Amino acid sequence: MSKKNGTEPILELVNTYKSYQMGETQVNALKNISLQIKKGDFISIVGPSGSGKSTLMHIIGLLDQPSSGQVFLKGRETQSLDEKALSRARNHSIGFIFQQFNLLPKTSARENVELPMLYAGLSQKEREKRATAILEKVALGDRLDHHPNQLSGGQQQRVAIARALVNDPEIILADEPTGNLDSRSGVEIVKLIKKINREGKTIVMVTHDQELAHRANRVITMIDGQINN
Amino acid sequence: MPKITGIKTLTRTALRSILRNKSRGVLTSLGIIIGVTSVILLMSIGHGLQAYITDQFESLGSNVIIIMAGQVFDESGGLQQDERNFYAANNAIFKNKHLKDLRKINGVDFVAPIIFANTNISFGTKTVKVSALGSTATLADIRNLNPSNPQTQGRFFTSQEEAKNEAVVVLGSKTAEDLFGTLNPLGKKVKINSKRFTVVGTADSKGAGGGFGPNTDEQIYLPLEHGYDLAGSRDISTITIKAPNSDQVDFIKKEAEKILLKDFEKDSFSVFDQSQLLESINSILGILTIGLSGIAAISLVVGGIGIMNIMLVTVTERTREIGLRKALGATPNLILTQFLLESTILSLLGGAIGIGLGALGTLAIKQVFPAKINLDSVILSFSVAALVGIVFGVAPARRASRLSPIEALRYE
Repeated sequence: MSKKNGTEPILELVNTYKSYQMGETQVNALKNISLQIKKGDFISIVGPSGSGKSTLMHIIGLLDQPSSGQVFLKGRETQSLDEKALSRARNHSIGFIFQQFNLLPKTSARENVELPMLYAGLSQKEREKRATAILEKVALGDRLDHHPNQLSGGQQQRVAIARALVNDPEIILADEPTGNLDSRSGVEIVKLIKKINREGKTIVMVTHDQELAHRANRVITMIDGQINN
Repeated sequence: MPKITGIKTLTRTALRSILRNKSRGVLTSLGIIIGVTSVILLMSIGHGLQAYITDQFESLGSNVIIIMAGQVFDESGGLQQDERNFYAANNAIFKNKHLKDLRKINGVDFVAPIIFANTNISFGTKTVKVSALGSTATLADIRNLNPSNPQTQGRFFTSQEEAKNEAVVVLGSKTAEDLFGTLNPLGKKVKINSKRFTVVGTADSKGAGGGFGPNTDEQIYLPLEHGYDLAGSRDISTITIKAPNSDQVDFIKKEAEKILLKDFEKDSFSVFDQSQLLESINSILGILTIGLSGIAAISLVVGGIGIMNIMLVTVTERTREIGLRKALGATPNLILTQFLLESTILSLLGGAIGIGLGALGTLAIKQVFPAKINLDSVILSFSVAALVGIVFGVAPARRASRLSPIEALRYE
């Protein structure tokens, strides 16, 4: 692929289109998107609702395939991957942080963090060790056995961040990570994400919040399915 | 396929999601519980009945060959269906000379003729209808009729009494009770067809005669000549032969047939042993048990449909969870395994509860009816339950595994 500044992008979109049928009308959610995400990037994607930022997130997260165009993960084409291979790729390379946290209810913080490692085929012992370590890192070492309903919103989101980090993926995808939090917890979470980025993780974050967006190194504004420069 | 460590965690996940809603779990597997319980109960009753009948037959004496007129069995080995042929079995066609010839067969222990006559027996003012059997003293050895307790039940008539044609009688246990109540019948005089007989013994209770033939507890036994008098003829209806061991039974049967074929047509008599009769009755019972259990097994299928319904609801309820798991890297196969495990565990739990209830039910039935739980029925119903869980879990599990992760994550 094209090389800029000597580093190959971790993820690259080339002339990507996404359209889907909604009743009678065809919706063109993404129009000719080309985008490179490089190691260590902190990218914010902003834009009004319906501008296609969620669709873009899904394609970057390998949850969805474009209608046309190409997506390269670490230089590898992803179009030809089947469901199983896509699951593997998500498991190894992408960490998800959701607006609604999406933790399994009635399941301890540690077991929630263990989930991606379970799908990676790690042993129970290894899973427990790494989950404990990473929860300690997000300052939840004393909440290992708490269930989500026993944790505050900010704590739940920190569990989710731990879960996103635990398989050491190339990219962390955060979809409105502070959308369900009060402003104080929101600030905490943003600080944590910023810290993770400083430690070398690549972050892609979708947000409505302009102030939050500008903490990123690069802001991509979406309008009408296109990147507005 | 997922690794073993994954299976362990997946099983725990499945168990947890079942335990999260216990009452729903029980209701879901109710069909399986009822199905397994009824299959086990019916099979227990069937097997208990078979064991009971075998027991009864054996108490009537083993290695006994019976010769009767007519065709007792049809060509396929079942009991004769044709009424004419069956009733022909009650005809008295054999003569004394056949007895003499049969006694000459190598290895024969005892040969006893039986003369049947229906008559009344009275003691004091009481009169009961009985079936009188005239025979030789050897019948006691063939049919195990020697009372187990000579002190209270006396003895069978002896060969001397038989030879002198003495007026002695042995009563079946029920007849003795009907006539004498709590009185000791030994040595008492009874009237049979206006003749006076002395009671020398009462036979042990044999139950209902093994479900075949008359109730032996309502029979009385007389020396042969008195039997001829009561029947009004010197013809013999049944001959019983005792073989020394089971290996000789077939040989003696063949020899007996040869002797009888000299005087009779092939179809006009039957030579059979108890194992044949037993086999025939057991095969009828076996078919009945399988048939009834099959009907009960239909409820297992209905139970499976119940599981499928609830699992489909569960998949819809947990759409978001499935989407999340897929986003985190669960392959479609893993999702399939997880939901398949859940439905299988549900039906196995139902199966286990059903086995417990079936065992308890068998214990309860045992108080009033022969019932016997057997391992076959437990293994069979448990495996059918597992199979039902897998088969009916496939559709919901496939639906779960095919959900698109973004649709699933968007689902409210």
